[in-house]
Amino acid sequence: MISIFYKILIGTTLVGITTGIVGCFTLLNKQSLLGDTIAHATLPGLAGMFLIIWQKSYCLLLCGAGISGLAGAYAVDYITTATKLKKDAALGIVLSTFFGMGIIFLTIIQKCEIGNQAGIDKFLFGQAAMLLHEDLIIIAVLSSLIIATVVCYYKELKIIIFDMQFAQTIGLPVQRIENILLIIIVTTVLVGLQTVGLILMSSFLIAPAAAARQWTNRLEITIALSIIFSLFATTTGTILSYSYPHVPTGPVIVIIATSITFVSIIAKSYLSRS
Amino acid sequence: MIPTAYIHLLLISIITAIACVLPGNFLVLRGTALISDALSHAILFGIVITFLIVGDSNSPLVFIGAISSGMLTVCLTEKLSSSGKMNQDAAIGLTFPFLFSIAVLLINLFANNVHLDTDAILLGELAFAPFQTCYWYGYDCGPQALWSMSIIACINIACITYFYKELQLTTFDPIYAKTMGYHPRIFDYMLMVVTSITIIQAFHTTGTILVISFIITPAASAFLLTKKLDEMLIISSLLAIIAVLAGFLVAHTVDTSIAGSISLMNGLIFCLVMMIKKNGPTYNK
Repeated sequence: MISIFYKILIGTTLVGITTGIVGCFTLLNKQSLLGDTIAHATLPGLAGMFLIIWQKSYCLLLCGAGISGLAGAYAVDYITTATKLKKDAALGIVLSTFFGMGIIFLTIIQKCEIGNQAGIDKFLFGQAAMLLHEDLIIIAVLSSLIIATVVCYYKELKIIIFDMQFAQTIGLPVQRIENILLIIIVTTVLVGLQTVGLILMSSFLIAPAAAARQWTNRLEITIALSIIFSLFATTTGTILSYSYPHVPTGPVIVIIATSITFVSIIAKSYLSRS
Repeated sequence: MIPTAYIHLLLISIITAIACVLPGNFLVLRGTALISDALSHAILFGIVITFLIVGDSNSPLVFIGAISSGMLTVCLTEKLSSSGKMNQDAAIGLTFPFLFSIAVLLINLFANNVHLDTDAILLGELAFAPFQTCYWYGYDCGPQALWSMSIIACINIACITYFYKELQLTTFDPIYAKTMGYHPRIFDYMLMVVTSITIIQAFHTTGTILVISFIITPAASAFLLTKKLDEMLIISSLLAIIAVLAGFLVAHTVDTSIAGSISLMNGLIFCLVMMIKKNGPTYNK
């Protein structure tokens, strides 16, 4: 058996790698806040699934979360195409409605004896220390699926992000690739649910990619740098939160990752001025 | 017989709804609706910092701290989106989790046993709002939240009626407004200050999610129903009130969170409106 520290470290490292990669695509595709909405939209699925099965089966809970996260993502898509509303309004509507539904389920769960002990509310801020062996395996499988999909569709994703019209002209199945990207984002959110929690998930997707974006204009290098920054933040964050009591893992990693971004922006503007 | 606490609760919710909906209309029209999401998370930072310095969560300084952290968020996002290679939504998504994380960390480090519960702030503790009553020379004047929220609602109504023309102009045609001699920036900041104050006050009673829901959803539904700003303001307020009433009914029958139920009702009303008016009002150009 591996010790609890390494379990947490493996968990956060996997989250770091996947969010580092996927974050670059969402940032460049101007979908940064979609991650936030999807993360909030997973709550009704999580809590609803618990209300159906009444036990803490991680796999099934993640299935529920995935379904409602995907439903949220498509709802945003539908609102922006069917109405003249701007995208941020659509994101806000879906976020608050889904999360509201999630709170309703969560309150019902917490009112029951068995539900109160299940710790579904731990998904809000994440609790890396509660990672089980089986959870790690599920996270690892999901992460490798994400990485494999990105590798397979790398060229298509790249064209769609940078030149949508060109992609349509050369006859790429644009709709299908966009759907694949959506599914990748939802899966990435699922990977992070247990360790970082759904509230702070969006920052994991944005901060490392935004920091990497400052230094280069090439997608390959952006992704590589983003993974490095992300891993640095998750590793130091995990060590810090493990060595000091009362230091929550998710928030510490977010603070470190965002500080890297701020330093990158300041350093870059300073370097380009001189 | 309905207990008075329940009526107070209903009144607080309706007044909060109106106070949030009014600035929300302008935010939705300007395409900056998600700044409400950012503000509602980021003000926790200001609240925690001032709480740690002052040591009292009811001090008026906490209010000032919260407003300053709201302004800090707005400035930071603007600075980031203008200087770095990132668009506005990435800047928003970068700023508010950062401030929110610092706040959560500080709560965990220094205020672990104090009444600053992160769950309660997110999910709202509307059900307890009527029990914090205020006293005026020994007389029971009703719940504190009712009074403070009414004041905020009055401020919002006053600001919007007084600056109606300016707000309308800077929202729909900022360039024309500038040539007319108005300063769109001043109204941007005014709107942000008003929104921050509303969010901070609403946040004590209803929690962040319901605030976001009130700010964005009714305004979006009204946007689909009308093309006149004054009609939009009235329709969105009415829709929000309907959502409050329906949400109370649901929460009462299922015995669950009121804030969650009202958010859901806001969303369902939007869904209904969207089904009826799929493409929004027809604009003659």
